[in-house]
Amino acid sequence: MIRNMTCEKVKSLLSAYLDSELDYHELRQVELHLLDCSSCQRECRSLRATKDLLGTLESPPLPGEFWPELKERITSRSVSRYYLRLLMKVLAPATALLVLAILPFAITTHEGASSGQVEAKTDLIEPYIREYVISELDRPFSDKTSLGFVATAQAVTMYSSDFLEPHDHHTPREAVVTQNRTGQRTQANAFQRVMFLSPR
Amino acid sequence: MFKRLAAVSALCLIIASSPLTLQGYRIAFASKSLLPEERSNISPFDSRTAMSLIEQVAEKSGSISFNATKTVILWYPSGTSACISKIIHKAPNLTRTEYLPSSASTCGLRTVISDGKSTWHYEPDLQVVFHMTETSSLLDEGDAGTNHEEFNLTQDVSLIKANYDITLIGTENLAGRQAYIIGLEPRHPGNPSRKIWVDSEYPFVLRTEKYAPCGTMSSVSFYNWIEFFPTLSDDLFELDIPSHVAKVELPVSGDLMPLDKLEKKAEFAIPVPGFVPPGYKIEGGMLSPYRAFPAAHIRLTDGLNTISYFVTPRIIDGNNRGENHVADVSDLLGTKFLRWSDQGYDFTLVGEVDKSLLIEIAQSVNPPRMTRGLSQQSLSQYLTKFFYQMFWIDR
Repeated sequence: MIRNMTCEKVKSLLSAYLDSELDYHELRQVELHLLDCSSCQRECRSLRATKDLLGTLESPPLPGEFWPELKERITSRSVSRYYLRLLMKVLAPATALLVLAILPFAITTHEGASSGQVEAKTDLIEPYIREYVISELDRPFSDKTSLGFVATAQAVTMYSSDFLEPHDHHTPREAVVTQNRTGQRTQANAFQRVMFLSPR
Repeated sequence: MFKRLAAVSALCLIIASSPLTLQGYRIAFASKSLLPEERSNISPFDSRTAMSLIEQVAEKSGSISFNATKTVILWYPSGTSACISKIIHKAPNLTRTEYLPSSASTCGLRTVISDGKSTWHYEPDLQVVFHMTETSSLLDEGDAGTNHEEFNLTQDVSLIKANYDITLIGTENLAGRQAYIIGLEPRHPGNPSRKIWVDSEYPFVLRTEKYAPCGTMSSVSFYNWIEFFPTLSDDLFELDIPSHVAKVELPVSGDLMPLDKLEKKAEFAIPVPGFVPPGYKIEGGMLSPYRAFPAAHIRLTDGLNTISYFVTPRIIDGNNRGENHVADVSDLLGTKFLRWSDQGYDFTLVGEVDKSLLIEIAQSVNPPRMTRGLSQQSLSQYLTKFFYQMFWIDR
């Protein structure tokens, strides 16, 4: 199950987020967090503005001694590179063997045969399953009992998952009075924060 | 196989020990059956009779009130899921379903009540009630909602006739009722097949067996006990919710619309697959109701099955992230998912068809134009990156 990212974690990833360097999993979590967290949204806007500002700055002229110094540094590194190459000659065959040993596992995992991987992906797929299942309900020979079982299970999973817990602890849940089917007036927590459950 | 037998045996034991059975609840089966008379008139393999039954079930099954107990078993690669439910349906549109807790199901008691306009789903263990307005009730007053549904139904039945070989396999006694067994075999490879047991007196499906494209059974659902047209009070369809229970409003998908209209509403370009599997048609699309997943959802159907195709643009500030993400085919609850990202979009295909069909649909999406198998392409990218990172130091 996906854990909610804390504000601290999201803020540490914002720079990578703005540079499009996050993997799919992190990207989704950051985006979900940003939807609800005004503090991180501010931080994100501020960081983007800073990055944009830096991008507009003209590059300062290089000092005259820059190129000769760089050339000297590159030349001095050539000795250390000799040892590095020697090391690589020893390491390369060992690495190749290691890769051959790992490759079958890498392929298996990649194709989704690893249940761990499937679980990680399915954490993000509940809304899609639900939409698909609701579509299936329209079909004339669909088994509404089993589809209903899956659809309701998805709703429960979404509710029980960390996606549905309050991201922003500064915003108290709004208490509202609602009415149930019996007409009984009921005090219930409004579930407005429901992340991706917020109506468009 | 052993696991399946064990699951079925466990369920039978649970059913046998259920309170209804123990209390000797009187089962008022309909005594009149048309089957003996009709049996002499029909050939066991008469497909016209099967077609006629299919049409009647599609058209009329919702108009039959009943009180029943039903078992559902789902098989999928990582395990089995099963539930027993009590269902009460008062035609035309009041339904109460109680999914009962059992050792074969991980959920506790779950009650779902639908009145055709909205659905209430109560989870006593979680102390939460979910509410969802049903799509048809969102139509404007005076909108021809019923005609629209009828149109879809007619279209689905036509598609089923065109895409499936419908045969009458035989008859069987089920839950104290005589039933016709009808087989629906797909004419196009890669699709699931079904067997349904239709009550001989009423156009009502008593049992459904679903088979994956590879031929293994993926799900079975059947009535253990059923009473047709009982006297049902409207009170049965009321849900008493304790005052402290939280209410969760689930969002609702809009109505199906043509793709050009969908694109206008979505406010982003929707890459439509160039390949539609044989026998399928694009029936339209809708916008996903989830704000954080502003997906366009395009539905393809062959009358019996659905393939859902979701397109989601990346959502924050519309940044076009250049890197494509690894495609992934996974299987959850017997449903296959194919997911990939490209050109600032996330794509998801969901269906119970063979994964080769999903991959073919994905490859036809432009952009991205994929000329090789998704897994191979992604694997080669993965390995290139792996070797590059390993040896970059020597470059």
